[in-house]
Order: sequence, then C-alpha cells, then structure tokens
Amino acid sequence: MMAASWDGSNDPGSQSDDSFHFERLHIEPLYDAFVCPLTKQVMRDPVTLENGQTFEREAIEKWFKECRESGRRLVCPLTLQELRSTELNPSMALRNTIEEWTARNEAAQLDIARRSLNMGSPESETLQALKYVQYICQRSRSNKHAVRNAGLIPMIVDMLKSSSRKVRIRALETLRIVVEEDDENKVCHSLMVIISFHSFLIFGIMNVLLANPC
Amino acid sequence: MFAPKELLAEGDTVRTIVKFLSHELSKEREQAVSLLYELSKSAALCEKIGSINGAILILVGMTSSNSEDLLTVGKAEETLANLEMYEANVRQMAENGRLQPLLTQLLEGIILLYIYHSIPMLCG
Repeated sequence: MMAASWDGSNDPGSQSDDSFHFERLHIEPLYDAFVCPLTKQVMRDPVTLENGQTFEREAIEKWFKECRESGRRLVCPLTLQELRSTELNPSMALRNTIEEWTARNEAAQLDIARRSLNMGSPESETLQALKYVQYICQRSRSNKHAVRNAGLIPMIVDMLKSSSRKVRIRALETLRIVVEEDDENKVCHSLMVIISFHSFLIFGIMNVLLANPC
Repeated sequence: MFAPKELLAEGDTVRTIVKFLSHELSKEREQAVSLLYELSKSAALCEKIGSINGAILILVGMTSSNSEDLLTVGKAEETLANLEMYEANVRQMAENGRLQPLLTQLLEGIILLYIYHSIPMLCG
C-alpha cells in the first residue's frame, strides 16, 4: 500500500487549501511520457507528429496556427525540425494508458478523502478532502457518480454539524456541487410545458374575445 | 439507484440545511440558499423543503430583506419560484405574505373557467 496522505508524493508547494493543485497530487508515479512538452500538463488527447514527437492536440494545433500566422516555416517545437505535413496521429495507446492512470489516481484519492471525512480528522484535512470532492465532481459527470457510489454524500452531510465554521460552509458548498447535475433538460422541459400552457391560455382568451366582441 | 438529491431528502438533512438560513453570518446563509436552490429543482425535494417548519417563511423574509446581499436575495427568489411547483407550498407562501403565486393560480383558474363556459356559446 502506498503512503496515503494528502501531501504524499509530490510537494504541492503552497499549503493554502484553496490554491492546492490536485493535478500534482499523485498516488501513482507520474511518467514524463504523459506530459505535453508545450503545456507541461498531463495530456488528454495526445497526438503524434510525423517525426514521432507527441503533444497535446490543442497545444500543437495552436503552435501550427501561430507558425502560419507569422509566416514561419512549420517546425516541430521540440526538435525544430522542419515538417512536411501537419498531419496529427492520435496516440490511442498512450491516451488509454493516461486515462487508466488518472482513474487509478482518482480512486485512490477518493479513498483518502473518505477517510478524512469524519469528525475526528483535523480541520485542515477535512477542508482539503471536501475541496477534493468538489474538484473531482467538477472534472466529469462520471466522477460525480463515483462520489455518490462511494457513499460520500452522508459523510458530507455529517460535516454540516462540524464544530468548525469553515468546514460547515465548505460542506454546504460541496453538497451543492455534488447534487448539481444534468437539470438543464428538466428545466427546459418544464419551461416548454409552461410556455405551451400559457400560449394555449392566450389563444383561448383571444378566441373568446373574438367570438364575444361585447 | 437514487439521484443524489433524493438521497438528501432522507433524514433531517434538509432541516439542518434550512437552519443555516437563519444563521447570523451571511456566508452560511448564502451557501445554504444556493444549496436549497439546487435541491428545489427536484419535485420530491420541493415537497420536503415546504414541509420544514419555517423554511418558506424564512425564504419569503429573505427576498424582501434589505440587509441581504443581492445574490442571496436572487437565489431565495428562484428557490421560491421552484417551490411553487408544489401546491401546498403556494398556500404556505400566501399565508406568509407572498400572494402573487396564489393570485396567478386563481387568475388562471378563472380564465380557464371562463373559456370553459364560453365553449357552448362559441359553438352557437
């Protein structure tokens, strides 16, 4: 079992919980091959150039655009080698590996968060765990399901009764983020019902008025 | 599988959240009303929120408060608008000084009644 603590492997730098970078919080080692040389971030959509160098799609497309706009030759940003084509080949294998790595990390971090969400934990740890739950929920919809399935909601509810004001406020905020979801469709639907009901009403009134001018 | 909102309808979680609405510090009130607004998007939770003693009264009070900041007032207003979905809440709002939803319903009822009675006339 890996050392399971919030400041485990990489030093997150600032200890202020709001500027905490969860991206750097890895339970599993981070491989250089996962990081785009341009963005210095873990890649989401890695693509390979004709010379075999891999970049984040968005970043390399931006680089090509800048080359074109300034009238420069198209070169690989890493080797400065001239390129014959701007063809980008998606690296499916690397992408899958990164996704699996991310999923394993997130599961491990969620597990740490779960252990920190109890009245016995120090305030700073609880605050960070709540922040992490928020962060993970905002990353993707499937993560929200993971948070719910991990049974975290009742634990966050318990934090509403914490003696720390900061924890209570953050628990309220976290609950809101956890429950926020695909309501857009529902809202649209009920809006349509209201609109159609009201247009029916207006249509009815007009009909009545037209039929009875007095 | 339960949606997370319905999960919060169990136990006295909603009551705990409503208690934050009358907290002396504005940050608590703001967060609580934002959370209630999210919850009020679900019909089951509308019923639950309305059933908590004083919840609608406090929300109505917040919308007409001058000391509350605009974001909180706005969220309280939107929450009440969602709570109108549930019939019993509309009556409670009227009892607590928010008459407009009930009046709208009455007016719509009267218009419908009028149309209904006009149909035989229209047909000759």
